[in-house]
Amino acid sequence: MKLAIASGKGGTGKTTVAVNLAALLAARGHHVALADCDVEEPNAHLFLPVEWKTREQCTLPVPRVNEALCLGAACRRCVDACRFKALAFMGDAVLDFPDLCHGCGLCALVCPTGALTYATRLVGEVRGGIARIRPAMGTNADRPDTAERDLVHTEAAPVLRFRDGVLRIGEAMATPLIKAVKDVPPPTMPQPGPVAQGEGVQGPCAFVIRDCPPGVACAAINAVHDADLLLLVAEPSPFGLHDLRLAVGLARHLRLPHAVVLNRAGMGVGMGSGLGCSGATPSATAAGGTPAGDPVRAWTEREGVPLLGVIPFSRAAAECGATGSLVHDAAPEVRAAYAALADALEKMAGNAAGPRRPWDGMGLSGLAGLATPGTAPRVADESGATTGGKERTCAR
Amino acid sequence: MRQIVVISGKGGTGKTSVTAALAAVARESAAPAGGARAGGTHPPALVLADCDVDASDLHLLLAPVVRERHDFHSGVLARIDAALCTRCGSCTAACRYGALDAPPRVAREMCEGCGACAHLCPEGAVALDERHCGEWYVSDTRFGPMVHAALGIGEENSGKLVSTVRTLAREIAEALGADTVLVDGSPGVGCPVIASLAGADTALLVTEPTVSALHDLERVHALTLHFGVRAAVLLNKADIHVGMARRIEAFCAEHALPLLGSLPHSPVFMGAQFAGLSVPEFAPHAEGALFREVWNSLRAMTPTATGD
Ligand code: SF4
Ligand code: SF4
Ligand code: SF4
Ligand code: SF4
Repeated sequence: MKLAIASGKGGTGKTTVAVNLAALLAARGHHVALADCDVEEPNAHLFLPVEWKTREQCTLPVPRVNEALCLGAACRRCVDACRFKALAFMGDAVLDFPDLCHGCGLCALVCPTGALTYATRLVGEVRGGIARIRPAMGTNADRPDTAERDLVHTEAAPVLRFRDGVLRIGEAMATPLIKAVKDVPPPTMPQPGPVAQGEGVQGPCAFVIRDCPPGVACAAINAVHDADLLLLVAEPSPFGLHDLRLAVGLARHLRLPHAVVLNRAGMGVGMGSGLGCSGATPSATAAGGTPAGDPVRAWTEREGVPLLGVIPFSRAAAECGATGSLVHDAAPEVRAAYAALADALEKMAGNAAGPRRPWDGMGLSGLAGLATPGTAPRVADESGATTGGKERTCAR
Repeated sequence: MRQIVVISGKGGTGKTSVTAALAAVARESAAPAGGARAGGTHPPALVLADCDVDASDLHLLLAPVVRERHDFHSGVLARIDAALCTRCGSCTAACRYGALDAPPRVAREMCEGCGACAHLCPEGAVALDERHCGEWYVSDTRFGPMVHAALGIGEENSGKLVSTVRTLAREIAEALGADTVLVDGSPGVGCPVIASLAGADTALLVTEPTVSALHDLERVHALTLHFGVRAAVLLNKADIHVGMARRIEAFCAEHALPLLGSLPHSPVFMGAQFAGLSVPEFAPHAEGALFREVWNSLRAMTPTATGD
């Protein structure tokens, strides 16, 4: 199952959710690969002391002019063709500006003499490695000694495959690097087949979890567009709601199955009085003066967007996150919330291989515009508008 | 005129709340000087530019009244005329961005508008249309004029839209004689944030005491060095983790980055957000006083080169 974890804006806890969920699923014996596609700010590795194994450079082809073959001012076709102003005519020679080039290849196509060959520009680096997870994590064992780290270096420990990309500072083209990172080979399974093929009996599942770039622009789209499920992490605040609405807009536009994970739930409770909620009409309870709870929950209910997880705000968990450790052991209620989220995903991944679609039986049938799992939805130019569903699920 | 940009690298550090708070204290510090004249003829203290065009939140606090609305076009988008297309597949093979499938349909989200398909199509079936990417607005807020924008879902080119917003804010400030342009910068370290840094005098880097934020602080700091923009740091939620706060302080000291202030993690930020107010309006005494200090330091750091 390809799970994309995204948000309309950074800082909602997307990376925290991705890392903790990946570690928990790996601790439960699933085959998990975590790809940090947020190449501008790759932070997931800070939470998992990764043993790095591979480093590859990601490059973009940029043209190089062979002046011996170039016809010069008489031709200029490449300069006229380039839509990104990466080629210019200076004096009697074609000058390339590799930093502006998008690597589209058009200039070489139009060149009548083959004077344009391709060199490369460094976009960033793709790093791969593994992290060993403490098997007991996420179980109901008593809270272990806090001095104990989440990783143990034994061969028996569950392994999480990890991959991320680091964008070169000053580089504007993030998408080639995102593509290189997200195309992580799916975890190898003991039995043939990409996903556990069992009927009824659930073996270990394969999860590819992507920590996606925030926002709804091209970087985010490249990371999410072929996912089986988009998990949108949101905060219970007016900003959080506004950002979530953008993210849900993106999911509907791409016709991707999506669900919300409410992070730091309870943080804003008691403050909502129906004010300032980005044009949303205050709900009846809010208008009545009672605390409106958080605006995100109310909105997901109204819109029929499934709420798949509710992770409570916990000061202890925030401190763990601050230092880069996993939050499972910080607070029992946080651990329970992740366990519930993992349960729901296991159920979906188990179903994904069978005849049922992953959202069947999950109360997710309210999702509209669904794609068949495993196939990348083609994004045609139609509106992609969807209707809010009737059913919803609550992970609590 | 000075241009001050607020950036953070990592999201969620409170960049937008900080921008709104600075706008509020700038407004109140300017009001006594020129505010005696009625009728609003005195120049505004500042012009705001919201360069967080991907997911702007500043308008939630500033309640802008839109005066002008403009379409934003950038680049082109391929369109295939099915009546002319013979499904030969040349365009699909040429597209390096996977924006065409076979039979060719254009995936709007993937198309970079390079025109390779149009060049190769033997039937002339590909048209390149101007691409509508979003809208930008000139608005009035209680703190002064604001230029802001909304990028359409799935649209790129936020670098260009950011430049449009920033340039216009500067022009408005010049026309009105405002002495400061305050920019809510884009998140991240990529193209949009580079566009929001361009031409800035000072960048205020808003951070928080977490490993992720420190990691991103290093990256945005490198960016300000690369572009020769003066930088200062504001540490938000300073008491979330004392040890990490020390590490941020050490980082600032090591790189000679002035640390203009440390704000406690306080429910006031959230309260102001729910009330649709800036922090100094919501809590004028405690947090408001802190922001006044930060604003004064920023002004002191950024003398107006030519103006006044
Ligand atoms: S590859 Fe494309 S973007 Fe780069 S120089 Fe050639 S035409 Fe321009
Ligand atoms: S298209 Fe080829 S021959 Fe013509 S100017 Fe460009 S490089 Fe020279
Ligand atoms: S314009 Fe370029 S990116 Fe767009 S469909 Fe054509 S070849 Fe692909
Ligand atoms: S190159 Fe032209 S004719 Fe051939 S498939 Fe593409 S649009 Fe159709």
